[in-house]
Formats: sequence, structure tokens, C-alpha cells
Amino acid sequence: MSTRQTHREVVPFLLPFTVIFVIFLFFPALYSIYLSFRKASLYSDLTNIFTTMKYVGFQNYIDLLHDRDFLWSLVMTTYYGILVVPPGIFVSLVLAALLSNRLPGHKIFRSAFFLPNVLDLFVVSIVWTAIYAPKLGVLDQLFHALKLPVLFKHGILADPVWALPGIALMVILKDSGFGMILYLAAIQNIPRDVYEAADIDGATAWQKFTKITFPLVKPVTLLLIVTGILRSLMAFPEIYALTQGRPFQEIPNWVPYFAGATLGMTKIAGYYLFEKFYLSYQYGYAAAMSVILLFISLPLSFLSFFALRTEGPSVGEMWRKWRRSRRGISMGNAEGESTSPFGEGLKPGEVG
Amino acid sequence: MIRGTNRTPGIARKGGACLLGILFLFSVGCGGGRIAQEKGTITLWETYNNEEHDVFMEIVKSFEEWYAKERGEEVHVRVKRIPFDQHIQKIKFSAITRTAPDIVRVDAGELIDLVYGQIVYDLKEIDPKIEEYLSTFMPVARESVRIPLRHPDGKVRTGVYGIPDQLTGVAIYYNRTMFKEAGIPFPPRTLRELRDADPPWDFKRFREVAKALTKPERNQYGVALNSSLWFSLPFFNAFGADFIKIDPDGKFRCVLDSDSGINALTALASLYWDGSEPGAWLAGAINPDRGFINNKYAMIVSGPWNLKTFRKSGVDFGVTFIPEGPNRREIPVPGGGTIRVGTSTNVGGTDMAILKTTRQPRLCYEFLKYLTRPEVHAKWCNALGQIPVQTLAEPLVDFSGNPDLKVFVEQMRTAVPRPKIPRYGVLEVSIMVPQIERAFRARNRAGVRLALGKAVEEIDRRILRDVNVPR
Amino acid sequence: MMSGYRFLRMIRGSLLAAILLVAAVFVLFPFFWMLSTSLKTEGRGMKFEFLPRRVAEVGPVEIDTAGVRVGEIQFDRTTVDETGVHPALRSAGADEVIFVAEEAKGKRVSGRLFPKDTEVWAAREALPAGNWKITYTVKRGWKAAFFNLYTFNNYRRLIRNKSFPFKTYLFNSFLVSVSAAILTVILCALAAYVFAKKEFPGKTVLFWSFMAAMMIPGMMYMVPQFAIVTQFGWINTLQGLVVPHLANVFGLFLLKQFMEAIPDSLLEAAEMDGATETTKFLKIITPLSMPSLAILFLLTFITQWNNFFWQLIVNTPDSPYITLPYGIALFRGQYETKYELMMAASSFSIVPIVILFLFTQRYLIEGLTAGGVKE
Repeated sequence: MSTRQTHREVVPFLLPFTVIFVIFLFFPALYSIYLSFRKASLYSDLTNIFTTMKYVGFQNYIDLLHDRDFLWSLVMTTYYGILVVPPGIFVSLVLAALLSNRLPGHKIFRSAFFLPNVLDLFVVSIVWTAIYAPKLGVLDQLFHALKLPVLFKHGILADPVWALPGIALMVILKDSGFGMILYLAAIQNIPRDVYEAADIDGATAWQKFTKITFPLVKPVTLLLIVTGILRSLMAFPEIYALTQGRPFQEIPNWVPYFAGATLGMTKIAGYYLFEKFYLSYQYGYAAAMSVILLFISLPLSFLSFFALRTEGPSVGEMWRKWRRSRRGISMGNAEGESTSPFGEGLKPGEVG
Repeated sequence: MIRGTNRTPGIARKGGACLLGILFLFSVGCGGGRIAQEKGTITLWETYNNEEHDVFMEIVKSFEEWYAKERGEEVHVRVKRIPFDQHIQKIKFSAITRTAPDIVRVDAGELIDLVYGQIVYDLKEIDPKIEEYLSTFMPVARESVRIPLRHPDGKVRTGVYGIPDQLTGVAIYYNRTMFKEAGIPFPPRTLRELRDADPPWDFKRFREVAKALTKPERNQYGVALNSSLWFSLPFFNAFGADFIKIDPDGKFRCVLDSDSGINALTALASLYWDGSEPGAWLAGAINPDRGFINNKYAMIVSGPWNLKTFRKSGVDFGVTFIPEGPNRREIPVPGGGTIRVGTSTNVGGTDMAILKTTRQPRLCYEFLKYLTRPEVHAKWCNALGQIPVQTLAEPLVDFSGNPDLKVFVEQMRTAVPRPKIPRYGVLEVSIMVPQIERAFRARNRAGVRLALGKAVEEIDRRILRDVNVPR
Repeated sequence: MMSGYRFLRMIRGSLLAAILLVAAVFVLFPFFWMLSTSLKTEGRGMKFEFLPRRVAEVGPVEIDTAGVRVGEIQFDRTTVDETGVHPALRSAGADEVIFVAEEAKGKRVSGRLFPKDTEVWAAREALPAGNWKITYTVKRGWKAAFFNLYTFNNYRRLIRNKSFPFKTYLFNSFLVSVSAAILTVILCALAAYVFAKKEFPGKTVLFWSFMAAMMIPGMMYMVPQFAIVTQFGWINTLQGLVVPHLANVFGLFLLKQFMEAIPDSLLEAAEMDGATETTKFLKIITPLSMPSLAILFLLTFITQWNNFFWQLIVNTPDSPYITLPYGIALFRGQYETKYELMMAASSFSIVPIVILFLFTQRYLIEGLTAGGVKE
């Protein structure tokens, strides 16, 4: 490929997206950064609020680094991210692997697992409240009927440690349908003869899953990890609908830095941002907070790209290597190898 | 492909122009075009529901006819509905781009933020005698639009920033079946009955009744509470706890951690400590409304908006007053005279505010005055079953079909305005809920004192410090 | 031997299906709840009441009166609805209503009520003057019991409402969502193609600056975007509703991830045949990316279909482009607790999404490689 030629070809493809991006995302993003150095007074005229904001230098950032609520929200966000992202991806992948099969009624199942995705979070949260509620809730009634001890006297959502996992479970069950669809699309793209070749080699279903399916859907996994990180950093509708940052808890003395403060056990960064932006109208402070969030998510995304990069041996080579290690079985399968499309450079997940 | 390349420079130029435009926009501020204002036409944004909207349109029509007849002038009120959900954001966004209407209907708590944002007319500028006009209003409704504001000279002056159009507050709903089962006589339904009640319907009695109605083995609890400030204010008020004091030097100061404040919150929390409150305020619990409708909670604190739903649901319920606290006051009643009772409640509701962008403040004001004329307002209340804001309308309102609403009307006479400070959302969600819940969990008076002390500290840090800055 | 293996597989398959079925029912629980609530009669939405009851006891209600009929009396005003009749007695189609009235002095009258008209039941004889406590027992057939709890009225109220131009809202929502979805897919696909398959200077920087923009929370964009839209004079216009969301970085990322999996060999082969970039994009990339394009279409459609806040601020109340979320929000007053109506609105607004999903399924299943995993 002669590079000079290629550059010019690229322009018309990139331009429409870039123009809209620059106008409606890039400038607003710059503007957010600009706002993060400013502060509105409570008495600012609402008709000119953004132009009358005073320049305060790095004051918003300094305040943020001393804001215990903010730092705590980052701690809880980390916890939330760990609770939501890996299990969510796992559930999505399992569902997709099961439903890519010609299982009876797979179409119906796909719809069923996707449907919760489009439901209003408000509706979902009412139902989950009814499930989790103490004493009258479905879970408690069930435990009561089975004569099991009640685990949470006041319900999961009122428990300082378990409230966030409770929310996470709801979110995973609601959202994994989307991951499932992405994985399904990726799995459909895997040529069937790869599996046929594996069948001839007598690979088990598990081997096929770990050696073929999983490596080949890596691009989707990467997508889900990166968006999962962003999602958990910005999550707030689920918190708003279920707990509004509650339960609050006095932090015991052995916890460094936070000791003695009353902090929301489900108040994660996205929700805290929402409070600053929509409740107290501290636009400058909120802007500074989002810049910090950007500087957290950017390296994390880099890291994910790096961890899931698919350079080195292609999947096909990995497969061949694995087969070679079980040479006893793979005797006399030369044709199978020659029809394998891997040789032609099917390298998923290359990073630009 | 070639066509694409040819087209590129054109698009690029256009894109460049756009970018320049935006750069300009941010450097100069947003200049958007003002909504064209025709003479004799005012625009009003309201957040009523369907039934209210229909009645409101009738009133608007009658205003236009009345104005034509009285003043001989054709006027037109353009009424536009906006959703209540996020209405304050909508108004703020429209203020930024100067597309705001002449009159907006806003939640009484949010009005204060608009006042601090300097976009609301002080009606004293339009009519110096406005206080006189408001004197016939329900005292607490009148208070909700009188907002003290620090001016650049450091002095605090109280302006009148709107006309109240709707009033709500809370009282106690009780489940009559449960009362009958426990053999407890029904609590009072008029202020007179409340004064003469024997045993008195005070907090001690309330606590006893709640205990007697609690039967955990069948998941029945005496009372269910919310942990928000708004739902706790009736109790603070009944105990005579002040919220905000304005010092002579014009500084705002929170005094909620007074002895009466601590007593009020301790009394409230003791219901939970007794076990007669199941923790309905906890995250994820069955909330009071829902538990009440399912016959699980015997008493809840709620407002008139639930009357219809509860009735339709088939719960056998009654409405009574917030139990009396030590703060006994003389409450004026219609027809002269006063009644000395210790009950009180909070205030919610909405106000009609005139925005400074209007070119016809007088006409706006005329309309708002028309809206609250006794006969017009009575029509509104009769059609929709609402609490009259204008006391002169009260004799014209027929409560016979809605005796429970009458209890709310009486309860509203005892109401105390809520703290008039900005950032009500922060006060509620970020400050008071955590501390009220902390007080509930504390299980002793010392814990309550600690929680309220912390609340006062936070109110000072997050709200009053910004209020008290020199302007 | 072979049949034994097949038998085993059948068992395993059906076991798997059974597990999936249970899981599906569980995750769909909110959906069932929403539907059933949307079909409840007024005031019942918040109740834990799902099965119709054939026999219902009402009361006891107290009445101090003389010479009024038992069924239509204005007994105990707190429990009657506007018509002055206890809700439970407004049971159209009840088979039988029995009452037992007791007086303080120990007098006791019992009997049965008769249908006065289609809705209200009344007694033939008036009660003697006194202070009465009355208990009613209402017996209904299954059908009547069902319609005592469930109704289609909520949907009717939603659709047939004079101050709610439902069809216009629906049409506008379609217009906004479909145009946003189509344009987003086109823009993202074009850009994703070069990111996936082309090399050019500054590619990495450009890609990561796109990604960085996605990492700033959406609410920070609201105010500046709104200012820009206002400056362009796009308030109350279709472009104001659609254009700001077209540069969907997530969409770009998604399509890029899928397009990278398309073998380069296909493109190289086409290049040898003299295909232009446009041809390659249209003839190779697009058809092979159909599943991911369909997913992005679906996703954008859903997002815009539910995009309440943006549609709220870009439309002033007299806009011709008011959409369904805006319209539904108008229904909800300040303190409204009409769960039934709200759920009807929610159920209604997800119907188009479900239909769209069923269409999208086709693309997901019939990916061009048409290969399923064979166990």
C-alpha cells in the first residue's frame, strides 16, 4: 500500500464524523475543561451564569482532592466496577455461548434475555425493591418459608457492605443482554470450519470454547471492558432509582483518612457528580470532577487495550500449536489445516 | 472516491466556519434571540396534570373575557405545559438562552434558587401594596413567596417573588380497621376536637398508639416514616424548633441543633427505637405509601395527593392531625377567634413567578391577581379538590364530598414555612437525609444531638457559606 | 451406541433449556410486573394483589342513618368514591351481594342486595333508623372478579386524551429515533472502516481523542451542546434533536472492533480487481458488518427513543417536535402516584423497541458466514 494514496482516501470517510464530533463533543469537552477553572457564585445571574463565572485557577481541583465525599465515591466506584464489569461480561459470554447453539427456542431466549435491557430503570428498580425489601420482600418471605435465617435484618439495600452488590446484581441481570447480543454477533462471524476442524480433532466443548471462541471474541470483550469501566465511573440512574446514595454509615476509626465521617455506602462517583451538577449547580466543581474522571478512565482504557491486544501469534497459530501438543490425535489431518482460514491473517482485536 | 476528494475542501471550509462561530460563542457568551413578545400577549409555562390543565384553561379564558370587558383591551395568555419532571432545569436552560416565558409555575422550594439567580421579579416593584393584597392568603402560603435576600449592601431585605397558586402539606393517615381491632378510638378530625381531645392527641399518645398497633408477627407496624427533611419538618415545627436565624449583621445561621430540635428528632426516632416503626425509611424498604395501601402500616405521614389513590385502593382509612408537640400556639380560624393547639405541619406547593425577561410585568401581575380572586380560586378548588390558598375563597368551597381534605385544610392553618435558603436539593438529599438516618440509628439522645450538630455544620459549609459571602 | 449418545445430548439440551427458561422468567419478572400493573384498575397498582378474588368481604362500615337503602347509602364517607358507593360494591357482574347489619342494641338484619343498575347494588328494604354496622360479602364469577382487578382503561386513557396528541408524539419519536439511528450508523461505519482497515498519520491520536471525549460524563455536554444548538437556531427543529448525538464514539468503537475481524485478504483481492474505496466499503465491509450495524442501529434507536432530557430542553412547549417521553412526562404531575397509568405508558413505549429487536434478530442469526457452533 502506498501510504500517500491512502491518506487522501481516508478523508471523506472520516470527515462527517469528525465535523460533528468537533462541534458537538470536542468543543463542549474543551468547554468543560475551561469551566473547571471557574466558579459560579450563588448570586450569579442565571441568564449569564456561564460568562459571569469567576476564574479560580486550580481551586476546584484542590478542593476536590480534599473532598472526603469525592474520594470516598472513588473508593466505592472501584468496588462497584469490580462488582459489575467482570461478572457482567461473564454472564454475557455464557449466555451468548449457550444461545449461539441451535438450542430449542433459542430465538425466544435471546429476546427474553435482551428485553430487560430496554425496560425503564424505574420499573426495574420498583420490582427489585419488592424483591429485596425486608420482611415483606420476596427474598425474605422465601427465606422465611424455607426456615432459613434472615441474612439482612433491614434488607440488602440497607446493609452498608452488601447494598452495592445488591445493586450490581440488578444491573448485571438487566444489562448483560446487550453484551450477549454483541458476543452473539462476534460468534456468528467465526467460520464454521474452524469448529469442524476442532471436531475432527476430537476437541471437547470446553476446549473449543477456550481455544477458539474466547480468543476470537476478544475484540468484544475489550469493548465491554472499556465501556464497562466508563459505565461504572458514570453510573447514576441505578443509584438514583434504588438508594440515592444510602445507606449512610459512620466510618469506624480504623479506616485511614475517612474515619469519623458519615458517608454514603452507594454514593459512587457518577451519583456524586449528579448531586453537584443538578442539585447544587456547582458547574465548575462538576466540570473539574469530570476532568479527574477522564484522567482515571483514560489510563484504565489504555491498560485494557494493552492487556487484550492480539499481536503475536494469531489465533490460528495458537490453535495449531495446541494441536501439535496433542500430536497423537492430530495425525493425518493435513486437509483440515489447509482449509483453515487462520493462515490468511484473521487477527481480531488489532489496536490502531 | 474522487468525487469525495473534490467535495472535501468545501466541507472543510464550512466546518471551519462553524468552529469559528462556536469559538466566538464561548468567548462572547450565549447571545440567543429573545422570544418575540407581542403587546398584549403573555406566555406562561405550567406543570399541571391533565385535570388541572383543563380547569386552568377555563380560568384563562374567563380572564381574557374579563380583561376585555373591564379594561377594554384584547389580551392573550399563551399557556404552555411543561413536564413537572425536571421543570427547574428546563427553566434554567431557557434563561441561559433567553427563551424563557413571562410567567412560570415553579415548586415553592425551587423558587428560592431562581430568586438568588436574579431572574424573578420582586412584585413589590410592580405593586408596592402587594403585602396588603397577600394579607387574605393562608398565612403559610403568603410566607412561601416572601423570601429574604442579602443585597450587595450587606442588608437582608424580604421581597415578594410570586403569587402562591397551590398549597400542600402533610397530616397523618390512619388505618381505621387496625384502630378498631385494637380498640383505639379514632383521633380528632377538627382543630376544635384536637384541642378538646381526651386523652390529648400529643406525641406521648401517638407513641403509645403506635406501639399498640404494632404486631410484628403479622408484619403490621404502628407507624412508618420517611427520613427526608420535608417529612420531618412537621415534627420539628410542632416542637418549636427554628431552622434559620438571620443575625443583625445580615448573616444567615442554622440553629436546628437547639434543644427543641433535638427533642423533636429524638421523639421521631423513638418510634423506630420502640420497634413500632419498621424502618420504612431505610434504603430498599417498603415505603410508607406502599405499606399503607397493603395494610401493613397503621399510620403514615402523607399529603392530600394520596386521598384519591388510597380511596380507590379500598383501604379503610381516616386522616388526622400531626400529634401535638410542646409548641402550643394560637391558630386563627375563619369566622374570628383562635384555637390553641400544638400541632403543626410543613408546606409544599407551587408559586407563579414573573420572570424579569418579561416586557409586560403589569399584565402578568393582573393575571396572577385574577387567578387568586376568591370566586375564581373557589372554582379551582371545587373542581379539583384542593386546599384553598386564598382564605376568602374558603367559604365558597364545598368540602362535604371530601371531608378528609377538610382535615388537611385545618392542618395547613398550623403550618410553618420551610427554611428559606437556596440549594434545597442539597439540604434535603446530601445533608439532612444522612443525618436524620444517623439519628434514627443512634438509639439515644446523645446520638441525635451529634447528628444534628453535624447537619448544622454541613449546612453552614455547603450552603450558608455561599449565602453569606459579601456580594 | 450412537442413539445412546444422541439421547444423552437430548437430555443435556433439555436440561439446559429448562435452566435458561427459569433464568429468563426471572430476568423478565420486571416486565411481567409492568404489564400486570398497567392493566390494574385505579388504586390497585401498589397493592400486592395479582389473582382476582371471587369472594370479597367489605366493611364493617358504620352508618348512623334512617330510611336509606343499604347499598346506595352514603355510609362512611371516607371509604366511598365520588359516586358515594363503596368501591367494592361497584362490582359490575357480581353474582351475589350479601349484607349483615348490626345495631348497637343488638338488633341484626341480614339479607341480600339486588343489582340496581349495571354497577350499583342496593337493598329492597330500607334499614330502620339507628346506628348500624354493616358487612358486605361480594361474590363474583371469574370473569367479573378478573375485571374487578384488571382493566384496559389505562391504555384507553393514554391514547384517547384530548390534551395529549398521542399520534403526533409517537410519530415524532419515530422520526427522531429512526433518523438518528440511520445517520449514526452511516457516520460511524464510515469512520470505523478507516480506523479498522487503513493506516494514516495521526490515527492513534485521533482515535484516542475520540475515546477521551466518550470518557467525560454526558451531563457535562448538556449545557454547551444546548448553547450551540441555540446559536445555530436549531431550537424546536429536527436537526436540533438529532445532529448533536450523531458522533457516537461508542458506535465507532463498536464497529471498529467488528470490522477489524474482516479478513484483509478480501479487501486486497478487491483492490486487485480495481475496486475503489467506496466499492470496497459498500460491497465488502457493509455486508460483512451487517450484525454489528444492526446492533448499533438498535442501540441508537433505543437511546434516542428514551432521550427525555435532551428532548425536553431542545423543544419549547410549542414545538412541533414534541416526543413521546416528553408527552408521557406531562402526564405525571408533581405528587402523582398513579402507578397503573405510568406503567401503561412505559409498556406502551417499549413496544416499538421490542418489534425492532425482533427484526434485528434476523441479522444477528443470519450473519453472512451463517455458521453456528455445532456441539
